[in-house]
Amino acid sequence: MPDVTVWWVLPVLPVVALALATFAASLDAVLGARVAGRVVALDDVVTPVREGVRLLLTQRRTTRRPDSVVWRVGIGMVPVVALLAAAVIPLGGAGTALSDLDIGVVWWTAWLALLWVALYLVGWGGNSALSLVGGYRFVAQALAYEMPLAITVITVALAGESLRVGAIVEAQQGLWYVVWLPVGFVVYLLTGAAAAFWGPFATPMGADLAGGVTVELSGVDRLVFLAGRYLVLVVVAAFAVPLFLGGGAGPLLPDWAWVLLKTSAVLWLLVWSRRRLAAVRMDRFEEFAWVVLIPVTLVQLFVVCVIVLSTGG
Amino acid sequence: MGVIDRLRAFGFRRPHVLVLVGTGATRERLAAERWLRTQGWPVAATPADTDILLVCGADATIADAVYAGMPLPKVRIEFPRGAATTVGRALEDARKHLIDETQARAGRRDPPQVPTRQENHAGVPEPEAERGGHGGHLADRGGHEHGGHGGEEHSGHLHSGEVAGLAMADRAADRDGLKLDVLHVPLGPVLPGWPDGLVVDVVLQGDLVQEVTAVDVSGVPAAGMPFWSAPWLAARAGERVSVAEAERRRAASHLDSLHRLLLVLGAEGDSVQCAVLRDLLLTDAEIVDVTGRFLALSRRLRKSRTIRRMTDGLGPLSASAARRAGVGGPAQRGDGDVTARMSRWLLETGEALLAVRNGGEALLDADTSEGPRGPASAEAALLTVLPGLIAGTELAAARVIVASLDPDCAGAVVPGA
Repeated sequence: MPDVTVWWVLPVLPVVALALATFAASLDAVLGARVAGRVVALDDVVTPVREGVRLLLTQRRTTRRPDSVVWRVGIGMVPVVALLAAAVIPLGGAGTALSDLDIGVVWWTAWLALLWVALYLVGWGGNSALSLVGGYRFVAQALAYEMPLAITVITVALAGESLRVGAIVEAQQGLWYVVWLPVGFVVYLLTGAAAAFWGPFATPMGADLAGGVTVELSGVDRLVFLAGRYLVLVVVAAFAVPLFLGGGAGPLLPDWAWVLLKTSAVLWLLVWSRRRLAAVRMDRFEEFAWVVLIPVTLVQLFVVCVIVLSTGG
Repeated sequence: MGVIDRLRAFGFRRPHVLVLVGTGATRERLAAERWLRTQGWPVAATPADTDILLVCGADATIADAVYAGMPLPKVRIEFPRGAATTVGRALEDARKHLIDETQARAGRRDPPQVPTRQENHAGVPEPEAERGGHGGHLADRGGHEHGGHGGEEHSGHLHSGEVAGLAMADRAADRDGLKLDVLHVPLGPVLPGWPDGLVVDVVLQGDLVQEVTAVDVSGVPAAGMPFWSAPWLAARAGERVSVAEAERRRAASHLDSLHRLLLVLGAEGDSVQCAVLRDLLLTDAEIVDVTGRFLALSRRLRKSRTIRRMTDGLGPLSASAARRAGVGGPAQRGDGDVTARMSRWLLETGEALLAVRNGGEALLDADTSEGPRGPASAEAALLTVLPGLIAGTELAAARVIVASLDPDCAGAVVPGA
């Protein structure tokens, strides 16, 4: 199958991604209202829109002697990286990704890995100690999550016997990989949340650093960064669908509706977990990642290898 | 009202509020936090994300610096004193001003991208501007000196002078003997979950706290008694205070400390839960309801392996060492690390809630009962043990340790730093 670009997806993809990001932010605000003991009001539901308007009306403040170019490049990279990674994710059945590249899995992983750079640049650029420490934290975090995430994604590709996302979806028509590789699914969600610096892995912008990498961001800078961060979360949730949940497969509804439903469900899980789990600091989590997560994912990779070879794949 | 005006009003329906608290303004802080939470207005963590600055008994110089660091449009108000205005009314008015200011700004056609820095008044250094300056501490930091690790590797003092009025980072050997940049950073008083009015100057190397150079308490001392120990002080002064009222205050005090500790630990849901219960206790809510919810929360926190993993071994303070230093209250009775102190808070909160139910109208005996924070001198003692506990830890750990001690600086004497 040649790599063809499906042009109609180009305008659709950012719209869908932004809509899902708004949904996630809105859900987060609603859950937050319930935890705080408030009756959920319309004002809670529209939080992402209101915050967007507020930030557009707010001055874009700067610090003294910032590394402006580095700072702005870092901020802008976050949404751009997320949208580029999304290019290989099918919005429905076969042929609905912007491009179903024959190295689609690698493409997705490679773009998300650039977040490592983006966050460090944002942390550095502001010329502020707390923001810099936030940047350091993400680099340390990447050491913990990148390996297990990459191994898990490779395991799925091996099971599907292709790096092409479309082929992986096809290979799951008998059995979704979430059933066959449950450990992989859990590790994917855990490390995916870490890649999106979300929930327990949000320490790069933690409250103890007064917002970490975001400590000096205001106005449109803050808007782009925070929206980008939700886009990364959406892309992590959306890629779980072709990898583990059979893509658009499902009864009655069309493929695109199933993709949307499954993505929303994974997003809901990620957003809901944020208030249920305490943050993990990397000085303590690093050990868990290397002593537990990596061996577990390697064992799973080995098992999948043996099965694929013995069934004569 | 045109479309644009409606959009402005919509954007600032829930402005972000930074509550700047000086030492001893606990009552004001609690009133503000409660109102903001029930209205759903976000609490800002940094001046960069602040629309309204609410000053509760903080130094004017610090308030100036924080205000200067806020992007336009911005409004600054003092916590309303006296019964005429509530904090809610004051904040609602501030929001109206904020919206008016956006309109005025649009009318003036000011270039919206002018950095606040340049329109700042001379003479006030801008704290957020310096690398390491977040927080609004205004001491002049030129010509600082530092020790290497333990003072023995003191060779590399390459003080590089200033660039654009900013001190360059120094260099010093780190714990592995590498020569790395050191930054002089004040922690507080503007930090989420940080003790009111406390300022701790540290030397940072990366995210490692190498040294504590000063511990300071800022703020305009509030009139009257420290909020948390007021029932005990009143009883000692001869007033009639019921056990139920005092134990309510004790439970609320510990829940406030837990709220901040959990916030710093990044357990947002549980942190908010503690604040909800704290506010219920202070508004005379039904004690049975509060107790039930607290026990469920307490069970969850004790069972949480993540939290234990993140707090074990941090900031060890044995009971005997604490006693020698004059530290009292839960920090001393905890006899151990952050985990132990947190368990102690949970335990004593449970006991206090039980005492509220059983105590009834019995009168508090100030001679046998001790306030939630221990004897009055204990707060100052906490500030003296604090530098030893956080030096050599990572910044995240240092924040957790400070939150686990939660000194109420209202009664504390500033130690000679």
